[in-house]
Amino acid sequence: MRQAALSFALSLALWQGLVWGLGVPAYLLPGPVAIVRAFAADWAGMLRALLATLSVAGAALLLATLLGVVLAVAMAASRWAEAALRPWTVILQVTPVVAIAPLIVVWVGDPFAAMTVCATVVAFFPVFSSTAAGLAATPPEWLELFRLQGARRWQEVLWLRLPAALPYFLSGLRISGGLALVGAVVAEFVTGAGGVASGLAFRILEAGYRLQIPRMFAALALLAVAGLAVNAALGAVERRITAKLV
Amino acid sequence: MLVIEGASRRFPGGTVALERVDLRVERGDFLVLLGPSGCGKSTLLRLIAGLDAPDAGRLDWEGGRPGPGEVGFVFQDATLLPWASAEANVALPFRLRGAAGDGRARAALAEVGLAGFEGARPRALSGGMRMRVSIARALAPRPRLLLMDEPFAALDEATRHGLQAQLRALVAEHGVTCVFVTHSLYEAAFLATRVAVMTARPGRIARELALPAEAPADRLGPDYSARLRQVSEAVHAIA
Repeated sequence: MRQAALSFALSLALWQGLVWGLGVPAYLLPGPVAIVRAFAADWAGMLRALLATLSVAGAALLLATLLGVVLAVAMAASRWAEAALRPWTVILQVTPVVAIAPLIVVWVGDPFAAMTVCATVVAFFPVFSSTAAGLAATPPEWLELFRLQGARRWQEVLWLRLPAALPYFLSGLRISGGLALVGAVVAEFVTGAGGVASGLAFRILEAGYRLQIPRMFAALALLAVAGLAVNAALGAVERRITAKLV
Repeated sequence: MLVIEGASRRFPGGTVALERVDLRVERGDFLVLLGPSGCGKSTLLRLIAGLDAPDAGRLDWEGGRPGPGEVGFVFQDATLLPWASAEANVALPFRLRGAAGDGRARAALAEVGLAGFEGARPRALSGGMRMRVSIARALAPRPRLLLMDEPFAALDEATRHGLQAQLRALVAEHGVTCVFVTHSLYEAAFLATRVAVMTARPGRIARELALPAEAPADRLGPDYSARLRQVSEAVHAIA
């Protein structure tokens, strides 16, 4: 941990040194000092924007998790459901959200709901596919043990497959957490371009239009810190639960 | 009584695991299935349990197929659910039938010498203790037929000896019919009241042997040596 912090600090120092040494103008590449100054100039506005982005990402992660787990369980419980749902999940995975986001905005209407739907599309697949893989990877001896005792299908899913799939689900959730943030930003870009002023993506767009590049980098840095925090938090949850299970 | 007549099992791809297996297991028998690796011992056990079906022939347990709860199965691995306590693992067969079974589970754990470990998770138990929980889970619903697939193969010698003695006592106490798969002649000589020796694949019953029902007093005495010689001769006669 200390090594990572030291290495990060050294990288920032090198970056600042190069910017100063080579005389790189701030509108091309601002140094860390200029970025911190830009953040300090409007920290309250920046944090409000971060909160708006995190609200969308959080709602999307919740929705993606619910949808992913429900569909994965349905597919594990029924071959018919698997045959019917599998192609749609793949279609959802390969559809570029940028291409359909304007349509989603038009269809849904409410900007928050539209952004949440867009981010859900991005975040859905990892949590779904990991849960589905976990449900399918239940050790055969455990399944036979349940069969020998005359277990019903719902008992097998609820008491065996779901707990056995939990480590897979948590691993997928961690990936989906990062993607929900990416999806929220992409959705904000689309709606922000359409005049909805809220999240960090809008701040990035706004700063770009005004050539306030240090402010733009400050918003990006805040996004990176949020991503690291989401990843670390979900990683901690994953480690804590997995340690109790395995 | 378990009757197997002409049971054959061919796997997709053409591998013939079993060919015309005939076997009768009387009520109260402790039958040990011996044979080389890959001869179909585990396949035969799975057919008896109803986990697989024969391509030809028939299996009959007291006039039909064994129902849920009639068969206790102990796998080579203890197959305990890692997220559940020892007690919850033993109570699983009861829970699956809508009963709590806590009292029976605790009694079964005490029977295998694990009183006080009810709340322990499998990862906190040794390999031998995990296997005892597995045996308790198989015996707790009072099955009439106990099937065991090399349950002690992964354990050290001392633990294996302890578990063999405990198993023999439990099987006698419960009056359960037991079919036990192993590679070990020593294990067969100690546990069995009957031994069935299988040929290499495709597996058939090549030889059957009855041993005295009384357990040998110890593993160094003449009783055990005589049993071991009988088992060894039966195995080498077909090799």
